[in-house]
Amino acid sequence: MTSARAPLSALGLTALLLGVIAWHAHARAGERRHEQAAIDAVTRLLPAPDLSFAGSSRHLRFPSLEEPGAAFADAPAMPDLDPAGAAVAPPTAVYMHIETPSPRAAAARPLGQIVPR
Amino acid sequence: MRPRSHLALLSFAWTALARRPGRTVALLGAVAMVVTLLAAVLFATSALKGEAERGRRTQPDVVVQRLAGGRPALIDPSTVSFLQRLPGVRRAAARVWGYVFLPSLKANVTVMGRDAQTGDLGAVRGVLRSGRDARPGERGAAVIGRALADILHVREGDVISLPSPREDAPILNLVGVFDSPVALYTSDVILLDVDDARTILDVPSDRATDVAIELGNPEEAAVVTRAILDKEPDLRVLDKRILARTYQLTYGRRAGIVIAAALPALFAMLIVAWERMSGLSPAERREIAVQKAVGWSTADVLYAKFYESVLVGLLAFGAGVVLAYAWVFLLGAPLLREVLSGWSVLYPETALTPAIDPADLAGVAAIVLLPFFSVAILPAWRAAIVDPLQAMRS
Repeated sequence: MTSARAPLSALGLTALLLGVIAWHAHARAGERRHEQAAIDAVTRLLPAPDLSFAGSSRHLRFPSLEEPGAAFADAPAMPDLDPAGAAVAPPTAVYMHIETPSPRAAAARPLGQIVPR
Repeated sequence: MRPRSHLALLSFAWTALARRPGRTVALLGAVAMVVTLLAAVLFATSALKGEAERGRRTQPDVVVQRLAGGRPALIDPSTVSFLQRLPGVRRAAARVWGYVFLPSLKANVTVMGRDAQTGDLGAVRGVLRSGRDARPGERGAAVIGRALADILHVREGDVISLPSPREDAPILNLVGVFDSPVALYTSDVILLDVDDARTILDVPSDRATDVAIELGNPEEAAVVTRAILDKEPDLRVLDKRILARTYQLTYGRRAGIVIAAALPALFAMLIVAWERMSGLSPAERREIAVQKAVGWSTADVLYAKFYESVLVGLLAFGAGVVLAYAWVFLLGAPLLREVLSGWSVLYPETALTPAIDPADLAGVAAIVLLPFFSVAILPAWRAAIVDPLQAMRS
């Protein structure tokens, strides 16, 4: 019969791995706490401290400011499901095809482009 | 039963699992996958909530916006002075900000105007990756987010222009790029002088996008809100606590949807695991019969089977948590992060900071392990109460 040490060693190794994870998480959280001054300095200047996840059709870059005051919402804090909140983003090439040319005269410099030095 | 006997039964259970390696690995894999998926969703959600919470310390107590016809509109100077005069208001700052769509990126960027009184960002460690902060009142100087700088392939010293309805919109000199510690908040941000922001966004010189209010006593937010709406019912007042709740609800809801969508797969894996664990093969029945014949009690048989499921369950749980942690915090939660936070052209490539709630892990353990442990007992008990001779003959 196998020694009783084998199952206990396996369980101990599992506990050790979980302990390593807890230590790593604690260390990373500590490093992040040291960055709090930088976060405070920047978020003080922004419209809201929302995370910069956006790009959707509704473009809820600052949902904490925009969503609570929407004309009406389907539900409180409704996620931005279409198309954000999906694993696969819609192809940006779609926008290329539907983009309509501006009726205005061409600008002297390309809009949104880098101007060569 | 003495502890020594329990150790012997645990050792016997380990040997029994080792005798059936294929079945054991399949069981371990199925349970570990279930734990990995559940734990990863909870880890990623907690981390995102934690980041949102970190930014809240400097959030104004109240944000006031104007509505015209139910849609957001610019705030006029009389409203700003009305808000500044309200009792309990320590500071009411008119802000100018907005979105600009960059055709070259097919993405919106956030243009934020800053007034001359703000401090030097370069003095705070971890804010700027390169370059410097704009000097107070410096026109045409911009600090931009790292993701935006990377996707545009620009760095400090370069110049860019932004689309604007105004012909006199300034060309912007990039003086600095935000660093990774603040990338989660600034990846799409262009920070520039408030007058430059007005010109680019075409906001008249006496108007503002919204007003950020700091109160002498934040507990008076509800009172101030009522006072504002009594006098100016066309204003929209957003309390700091409501803003915080929005994010908590949003991520909580998204995590719930992900888990709900994954539930059929989770149940299927658990059912397979339970079926493998609970369905005793003829060989296992004969083994139990031999154990009974050589003097094992029914309790011994049940303990041995219970320890088998405990060993598989605990090892799979540990492996699942380790895999979930590596998936979310070491690999950056590929696939999962997009589902929880939404896709974005200007995605901040910053590692999430672990924020593990032991209650989450206890919940996962309760959902997965308790049924797994209990389901293995019943068939073992049925086999253990059968007469050994009859079991061996059959």
